Amino acid sequence: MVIAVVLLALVVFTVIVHLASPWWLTPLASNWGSIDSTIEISFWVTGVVFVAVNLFLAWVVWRYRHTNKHKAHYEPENKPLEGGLTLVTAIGVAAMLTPGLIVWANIVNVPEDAQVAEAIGQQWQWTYRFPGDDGELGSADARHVTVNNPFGLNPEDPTGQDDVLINSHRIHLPVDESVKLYLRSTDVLHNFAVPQFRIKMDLVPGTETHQWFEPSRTGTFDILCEELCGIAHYTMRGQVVVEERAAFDDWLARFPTFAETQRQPQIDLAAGEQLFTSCAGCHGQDGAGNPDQNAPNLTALTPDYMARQLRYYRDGIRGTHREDTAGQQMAAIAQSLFSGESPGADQRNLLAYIDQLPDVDSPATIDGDPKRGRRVYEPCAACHGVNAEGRPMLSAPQLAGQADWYLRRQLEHFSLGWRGEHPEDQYGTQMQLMTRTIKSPERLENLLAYLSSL
Amino acid sequence: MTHIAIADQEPHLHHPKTFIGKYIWSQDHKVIAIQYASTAIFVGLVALLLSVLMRLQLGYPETFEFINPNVYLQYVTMHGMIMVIYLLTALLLGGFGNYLIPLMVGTRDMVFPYLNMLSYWFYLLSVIILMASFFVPGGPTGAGWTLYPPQAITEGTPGAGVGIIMMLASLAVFIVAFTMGGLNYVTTILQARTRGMTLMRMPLSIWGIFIATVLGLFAFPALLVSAIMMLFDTVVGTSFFMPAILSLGEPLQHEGGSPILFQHLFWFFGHPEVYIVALPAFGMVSDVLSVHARKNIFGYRMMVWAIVIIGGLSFVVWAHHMYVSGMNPYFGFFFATTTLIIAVPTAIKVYNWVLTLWRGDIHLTVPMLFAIGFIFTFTHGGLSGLFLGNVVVDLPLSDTFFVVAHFHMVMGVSPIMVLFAAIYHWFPLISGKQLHTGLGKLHFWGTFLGTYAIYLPMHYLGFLGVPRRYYALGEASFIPESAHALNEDITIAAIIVALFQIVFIINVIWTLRSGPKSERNPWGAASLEWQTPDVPPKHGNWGDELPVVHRWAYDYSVPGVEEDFIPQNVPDSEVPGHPEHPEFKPKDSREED
Amino acid sequence: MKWFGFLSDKPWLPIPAGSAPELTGPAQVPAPKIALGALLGVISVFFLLIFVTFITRSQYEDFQALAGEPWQPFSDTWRLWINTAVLLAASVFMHRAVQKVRQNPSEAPLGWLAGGALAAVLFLILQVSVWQFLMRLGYGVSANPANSYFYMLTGLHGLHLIGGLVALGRVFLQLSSDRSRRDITTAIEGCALYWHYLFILWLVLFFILTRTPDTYAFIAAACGLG
Repeated sequence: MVIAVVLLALVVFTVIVHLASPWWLTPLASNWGSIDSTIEISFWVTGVVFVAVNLFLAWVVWRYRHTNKHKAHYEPENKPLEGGLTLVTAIGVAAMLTPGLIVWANIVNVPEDAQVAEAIGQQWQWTYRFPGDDGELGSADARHVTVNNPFGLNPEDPTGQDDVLINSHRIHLPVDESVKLYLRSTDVLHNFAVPQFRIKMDLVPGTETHQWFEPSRTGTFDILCEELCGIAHYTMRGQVVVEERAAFDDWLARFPTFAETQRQPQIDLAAGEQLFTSCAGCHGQDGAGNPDQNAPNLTALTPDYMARQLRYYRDGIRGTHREDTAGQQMAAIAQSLFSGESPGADQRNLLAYIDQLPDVDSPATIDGDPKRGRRVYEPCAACHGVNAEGRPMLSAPQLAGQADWYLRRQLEHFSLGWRGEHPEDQYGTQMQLMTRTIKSPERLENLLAYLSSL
Repeated sequence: MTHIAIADQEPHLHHPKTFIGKYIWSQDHKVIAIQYASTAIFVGLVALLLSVLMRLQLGYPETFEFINPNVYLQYVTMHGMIMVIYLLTALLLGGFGNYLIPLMVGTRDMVFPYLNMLSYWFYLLSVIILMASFFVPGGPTGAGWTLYPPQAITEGTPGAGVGIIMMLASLAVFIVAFTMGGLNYVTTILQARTRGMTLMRMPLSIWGIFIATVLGLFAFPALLVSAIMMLFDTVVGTSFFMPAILSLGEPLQHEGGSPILFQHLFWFFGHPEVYIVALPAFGMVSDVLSVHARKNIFGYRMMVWAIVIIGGLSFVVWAHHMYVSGMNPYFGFFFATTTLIIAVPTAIKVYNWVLTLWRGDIHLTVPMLFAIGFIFTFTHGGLSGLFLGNVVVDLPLSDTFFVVAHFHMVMGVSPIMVLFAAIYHWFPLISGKQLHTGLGKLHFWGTFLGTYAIYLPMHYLGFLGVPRRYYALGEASFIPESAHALNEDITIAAIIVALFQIVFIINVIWTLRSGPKSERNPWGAASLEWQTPDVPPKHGNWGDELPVVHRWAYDYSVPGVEEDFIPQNVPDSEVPGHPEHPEFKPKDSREED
Repeated sequence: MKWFGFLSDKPWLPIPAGSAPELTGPAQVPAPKIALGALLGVISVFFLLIFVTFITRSQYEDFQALAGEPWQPFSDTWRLWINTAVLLAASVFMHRAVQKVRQNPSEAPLGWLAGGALAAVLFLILQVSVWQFLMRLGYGVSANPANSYFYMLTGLHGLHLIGGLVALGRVFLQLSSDRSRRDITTAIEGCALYWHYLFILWLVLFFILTRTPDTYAFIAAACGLG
């Protein structure tokens, strides 16, 4: 009796939840409106069946509940009824399947004139590649990957030399132009998904997959990895910026070609030493840093990492939050640092000089339980290394030997959103999400004590 | 009517004298069934606990210090694997299959009692290996229950060293256990049925278990092959599934393998596995509905055919799990079509369950409530499957919470509703005592409404595009604040559902200790298992003489007959009111087809 | 076809005169035969799936078949032919044992059974020596997928044979106790069938593992696995 009423109520409730739900497909931003239409059709067909079957069930349970007054009807089978229901079901199924297969045919057939691009996944970041003037992507393979060739392009392949490498988690695409996006992974399975575009596809190491779409409105959309790819899977985020053609062309022009990244420029250590005198005031002659000046230990950092941070400081990506006074200070210095004729060469020389300084271990200043900190460090180890030695291939800086007060401040800034908030900060979102695994001040202190002990 | 003397077709029953022989190293299918069931329920409770921990993290991502991304993925993986394989498969086939097959087809035991015992001990060994992986360095694997390579065996995944090896080893042992049990079930059903038990007189429970076992026998080898090959890849360094890749920046020694090959193997097992769980549940719920509605199952033949057709089709739909895997996209046409075709026999089963109730005499007992709840949840879960099976609709929804909601409705909640229906229904047979009805109803309402409160909203998280297997959502422009609130509500519902299971455990313990003795056949069931001379049945089941079957299992409310059911082993001449009964006085003639 | 017949039975109807299922049990094929048949089906699916992955994998560029060029180990397969002969002998011995026990159920064909078991053991030893031969040539397990498949498939075949030897051991134990002779005949027939099956399976393995790249390409194309 109650169950009949409850079934009726659940059907009504389900329909209301569906109609009133604020949670629904995000507004479409691609040409795949036909997918939404197929979902709509599926909803009508399945919705009618759901309501009909369960209302009938509720009525039957109420009408034929045990009363001592009636006996069950005896009817082993009813062929016309069963046959009729089978037919109706088959028609309903065909009504969903047919549009589905038609749309799938469109998804399978990539338009000839689609612009080609490539998204590359690795644990746990996205980078991209566009073909150069030849309109063709050069061959690439995980076996070619080195620190100097992180995209793994085949150095021997002439078609790859003019490929434009986007070493950023953000890709720009022109609006209203179809794109055939090749997908390549250098390590494990990933999945390239933009909810607003509706389609998604796995990246499969050892082979190349693709998807195609046509962005239909300008804006910035999140890219998610939707294939479990290891512990930091949930932090593997990117963004698509859809903009007008002209803006897109400007953006693309800012990135180097593969050939340009492969040139090995001359290094002048003496010039670097000269430039370093202005840094030594805060960071010390030995580069070991100074807590009183808020200066971290530079000898624990790689040139790549420092180059990226200097760029962030210069471009207003880091050190802009008003609570981050030390960051603001460094941002000002970074902007005025290379005033010479060739700032690029100056920066290279400076960083090369710092790189050859002997490593100095920063003393521990924070009390904590290193044993417990080891457990807090567990998820960090994947990128920063089991001994916190850093993994340059993953752009993860060394943490062992770095000043603990500095690490504490950065971790706090990440978790408060004072660092890593800028959309261009490639690893910002990742670090913001990862610092939330620390969860309490005691655990932070234990973590730092553990790092100091390494 | 001649009865058959014991000596005729007797298996050699091993009659142990000691306690250990009777209850530990037992070869009695009923004891083995209970061993299987208790072990499965125990690991199931572990998996339930893991799901609560998972929900805590999802609902309150910044609260619980001990849940880091590593252990979260380990919870996800172990929860899924335990529930699908070590709970559902083991409980439905090892537990109910073992208990019901000999009783329902009228034999004294499985044809190979010793093998049956070995099957349980191998199963227990696989469970022990699985549980031990919680305590090894690095913990259990966190690769997701699908165990996709390369990530399952590379460094960035928790438990990629020892954990995954233990998982694969445990699966291999489980498959050996299943094969030993499965050969027994199939042979017993084919060969050891009692006189008069034609295949089409078997209850649908047996049909479901039979076809599910056949599916298992032919599907589990695919999992075994993939497990062995992955073990080679990770232990010996071969390249079956491993292409040339980097792992966290370091090049690995593998070359040329294909991760998609693993996915094909895995889902060639994985999809039939859905029906290995679903078909016994379909069968048992049919019997529960029929008994408690005092009406024959509607369209018995169609139900049998549907089971057989679903079983056959389940081997040609596997790649619908792989629409976005990077396989040849043209496969999508084929697999979307086969997948949607399978909806037709499945829908017929749903119609026939409802039509069984139609014009019935519905006793709203606890098993019946769970069975009705099953029809509702299964309809919901089955229909959402039509979204995911239709290749284009799968694109936005795959790998989101919609998938999670769908498969929990269809192969989590639904089979578990049936399992509870079955436990409440057959408990008097198994223990001689009837579970408390009030507590049973409380348990039903908490479980039924609670699970719907978990999974209905979860579908909408999926429509939003919230991905599954995320430790924390963080900020994404398309996820509104309200989605986080919804996640909290789902977590609360999940905790409530978990707590309601305590009611069930209390009910079982209280009933076993001090519950009143039940009647022999409290529901008035016609099928053979309730017609044993002793309840609970003793070792050997049938006393001196095997039963002889004279009718199908669904003679309920037969017109003209006084009782509203006729047990399968009663001949027409002993049915009061039947024309062949010696004292028959014609009143109104029985309908003849 | 029989299946279609009884799947359309209407079990609720009164039984037509003349047919009384109450009087007959199911067909009396011995249970071990049904179970062994099912087991061989399961094992066949198991190996078939590995073959499918093998043929698929053989079409990847890094795959180097073990035969085809003169310097490759199985361009001359005399070692494998010896093993084949040994396994064939095992199968023949088992067949003789079945013939003997059928002729004279009161006498256990211990000699033939022991012959079958010893030949099987010899086969296993020879298989290990083939592994050693490959290792010496530098064809390690993980050096190439063709090698990996060779070791894995022959290893799995060997494991199944060891399983058979365990079952045969149980038959020996039964012979030393006084069980009914009918059981023993069925058991020996079962073992013999299993031996024949493993021999045929070995022939398939032998065939598949020692082909040239061209043959693999042909099989792959024919099966649509390229």
